[in-house]
Amino acid sequence: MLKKDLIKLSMLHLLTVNDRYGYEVLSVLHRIFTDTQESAIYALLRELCRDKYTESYMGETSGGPARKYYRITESGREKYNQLAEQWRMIKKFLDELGI
Amino acid sequence: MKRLGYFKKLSLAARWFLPQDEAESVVDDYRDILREIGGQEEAVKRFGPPWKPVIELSDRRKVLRWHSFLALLIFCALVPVIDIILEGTGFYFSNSAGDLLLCGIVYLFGLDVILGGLNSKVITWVSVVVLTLAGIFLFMLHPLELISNLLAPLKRAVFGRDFPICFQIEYFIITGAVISMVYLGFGGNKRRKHIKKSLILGFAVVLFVIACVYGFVMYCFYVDFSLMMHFEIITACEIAAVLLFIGALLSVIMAKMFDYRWRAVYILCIMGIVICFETHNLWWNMNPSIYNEYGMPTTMWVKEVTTFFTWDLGYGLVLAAISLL
Repeated sequence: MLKKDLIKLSMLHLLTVNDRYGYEVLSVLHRIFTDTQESAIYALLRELCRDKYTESYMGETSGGPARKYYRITESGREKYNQLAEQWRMIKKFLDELGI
Repeated sequence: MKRLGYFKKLSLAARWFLPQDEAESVVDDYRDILREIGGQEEAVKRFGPPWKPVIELSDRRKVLRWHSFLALLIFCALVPVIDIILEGTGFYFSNSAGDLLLCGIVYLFGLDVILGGLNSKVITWVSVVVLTLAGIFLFMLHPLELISNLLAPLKRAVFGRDFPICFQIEYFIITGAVISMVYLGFGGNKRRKHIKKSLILGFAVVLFVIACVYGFVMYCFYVDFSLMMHFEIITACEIAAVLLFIGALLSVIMAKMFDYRWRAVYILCIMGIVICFETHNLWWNMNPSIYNEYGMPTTMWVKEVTTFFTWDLGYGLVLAAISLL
């Protein structure tokens, strides 16, 4: 599992909890993956959207201009479960090795 | 103001490197993101130069494809202009340029298919070499002349004789129009309802320039032929052709970046350049005696030439109208 997949997994996880706008996703993930540039994180968010794992819509904000929000799709949930399963297995192996 | 500068540059880069739908979506996202960020310095620190986030999103193959199409489209508009500037060698140049264009189309489309379908680097490179050799071989066959000869019976059926050779330059209008339509596609359900004023203005200006050249030639032929003798016509044609070339270049860029219907202006520009080319060519080959260089009586010659002018104008306008769909 590559770091790219870990970021995707984190993104999908964030979106299973709540619909979020682009900057929100970027800032949360950049706090975790500090050595990855935000533009690269954004590219992954677009990739998920291009692969139809997420979709966007214009959402209202109180007092401010409308923002573009991202939400997870049904195939996105399947992808999330798949990536999460991979991550659990890796974590289990690493635990067994005592890392 | 500074933040606007960063955003403007980023949105221009997005429209250049990404397909139109994706570019708009990315621009929307970055509008939101940059609204949250303090200023330009902060944006550069977090995202790098404005083009960097866009390059990370772009698909190399799609960018290469866009640049290849751009090269072909520029080539179609540039050849008649060079022909005008070279003066006298036009026919030979436009024919070999036409051959080069046809080979270029075959080569680039072939490359597009190969790069789209193959994963093996070795097979890709072998295919590129084979395709290049095939392209060179095709160029040596003079494909334009081959097609022209194949169409000869049809042309005779329509016109009763072959086209005078100098008028083969008009192939560039059709080729440019077809390439622009193939690459940019048609609006379909996504078609925008409103055409922006800038597009209408661009269309009107180019149409006005063409109407001036066309009207002038028609006036000379049917009212006062002595006007056609002035040397200034050459300079006017050269200036008009260069301006129309700039117009063609800008309209292709506008078509890619903002509204695909700008290609209608591009087609009109090539049509204008071709009409300038023909006027220019006419001036150099003009013979005020009753017979021209083909031994044709002046009245017949005038009829023939004006027929070509009207044909060019006719199908140029039809292609421009189709490209607005």
